[in-house]
Amino acid sequence: MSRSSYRETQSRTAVIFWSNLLFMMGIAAMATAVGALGPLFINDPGTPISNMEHGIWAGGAVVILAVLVVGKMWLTGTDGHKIAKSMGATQVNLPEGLLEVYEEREYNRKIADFAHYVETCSLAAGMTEVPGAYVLFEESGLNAFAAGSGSGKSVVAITEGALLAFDRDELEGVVGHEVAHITQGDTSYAMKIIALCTALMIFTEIGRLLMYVRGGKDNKLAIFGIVVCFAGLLGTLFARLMQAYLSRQAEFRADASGALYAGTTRGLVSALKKIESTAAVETKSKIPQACAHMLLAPPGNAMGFGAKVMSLSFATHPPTKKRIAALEGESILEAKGTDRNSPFES
Amino acid sequence: MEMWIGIGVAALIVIMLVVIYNKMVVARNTYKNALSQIDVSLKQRHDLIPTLVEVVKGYVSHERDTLESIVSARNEAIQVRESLGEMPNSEQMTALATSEKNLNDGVMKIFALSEAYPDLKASENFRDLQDQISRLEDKISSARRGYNLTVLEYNNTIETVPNNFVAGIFKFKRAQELDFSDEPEIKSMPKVEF
Repeated sequence: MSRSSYRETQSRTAVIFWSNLLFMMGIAAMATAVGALGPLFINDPGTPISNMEHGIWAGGAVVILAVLVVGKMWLTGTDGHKIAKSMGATQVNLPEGLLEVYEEREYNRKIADFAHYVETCSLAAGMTEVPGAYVLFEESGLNAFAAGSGSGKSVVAITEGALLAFDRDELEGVVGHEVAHITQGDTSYAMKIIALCTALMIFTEIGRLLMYVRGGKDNKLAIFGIVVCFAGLLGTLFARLMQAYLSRQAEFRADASGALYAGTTRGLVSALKKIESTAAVETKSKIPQACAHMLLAPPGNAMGFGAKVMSLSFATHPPTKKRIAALEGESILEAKGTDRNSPFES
Repeated sequence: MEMWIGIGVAALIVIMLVVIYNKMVVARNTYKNALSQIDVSLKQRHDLIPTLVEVVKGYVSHERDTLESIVSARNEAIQVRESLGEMPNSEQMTALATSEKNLNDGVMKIFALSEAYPDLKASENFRDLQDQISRLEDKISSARRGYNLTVLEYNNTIETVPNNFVAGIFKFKRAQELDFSDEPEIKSMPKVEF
């Protein structure tokens, strides 16, 4: 949707293509493992195994996965409000008015600014409704996320630390970035990914439990359990890789589109620089790593595994320096007649 | 055999038509909605002007011209706004941009007045109104950009190749963007020197 040029991202089609490919490879790998090895272990040794049996095992694996994925999707739902509240956030742009902290003028001003920018950025994005504006009180790290999709169900959330640390421009940039996630479809996609990862985790867990089955013929079940477990881990590997790749691409695109909605790249660049300088200090964050891909920047500095190559492949966000460079390469965005300075002269 | 292929192709075409038509309807409604958002914010600003004039009158003694000109600019702007149809053409858009710019100039002059009248500047009512109007102008500016964005998407949707045939059949017309080319001026407050 953004009219700016961003060189760091690949074309949307390439991204969709690779993600689907990885997705199918992951599912295929899992189904193959189960299909090939399942009958081998369960049937009595020596009995010939027809291709159809392999097929049934593989098909069964896919069906179970599908059930788990759909079930998890149904459980989570697309309601951003539910997701935000489950993370402990409080809505500040309530229908009856802004949330006010008793006798804290500066604080209330910040809340008002935040809610205002949620409104203006969603307007500039052409959204038909204003997303809910949530604040994660008692979260001192600098971060923000967007969640939910569908009419009336999307939200933008920001940590209390970020609300207080960012100035007006930076707030606007961050909110623009999060709104861009909503309009890009990243929030609905994120839910599907979470569902897939959860399903794979359950799958792996079933395999792990099976491994503990003991005795006589049941030893085969245990071995089968290893197979399932292995297949699950394989699938998880592919899913994580795919999710991380897509997430990095989405972050770049959200940076560019977000700056378009905010009207300038200045705010977001400034905010990212602030995040980068504070990331050196490992702040304890209550936000679980599982949700990392929705955030503005990885919580604390957790990147996952040890080796650099591995961690970069699994990183859910591009290196902050790269994001800043990409944004600054474009200076102030120009759409027809939208050069604008800070809305408030203070 | 050929019959089945024929039926299959026909079904495919029908499905494509439906999908394309729906996309165009959604794009059109989206940009119409964006226009109504501008309208809502403009109206809110129009509604605040009389209050602003009242508050200023209480503190300011010899600025009748300024106050009168803003009242007439406001009335003119209301007229133009209410004459816009659902799908305004380029003339109407230009008229809207002009009337709103005039109103803006008036508002800026009044804000600048506060430099000369410290009582006015200190008045909390005045500052509240200033805040509200500034925020509304922010909203208007964002709504306008959102409108242009959704208009672009709508125009892209109806003019690209497979869709333009459907657009022609169902008479989807190209939409007009809004151009406030004086945007930077709107954002800066003029310094009044006495």
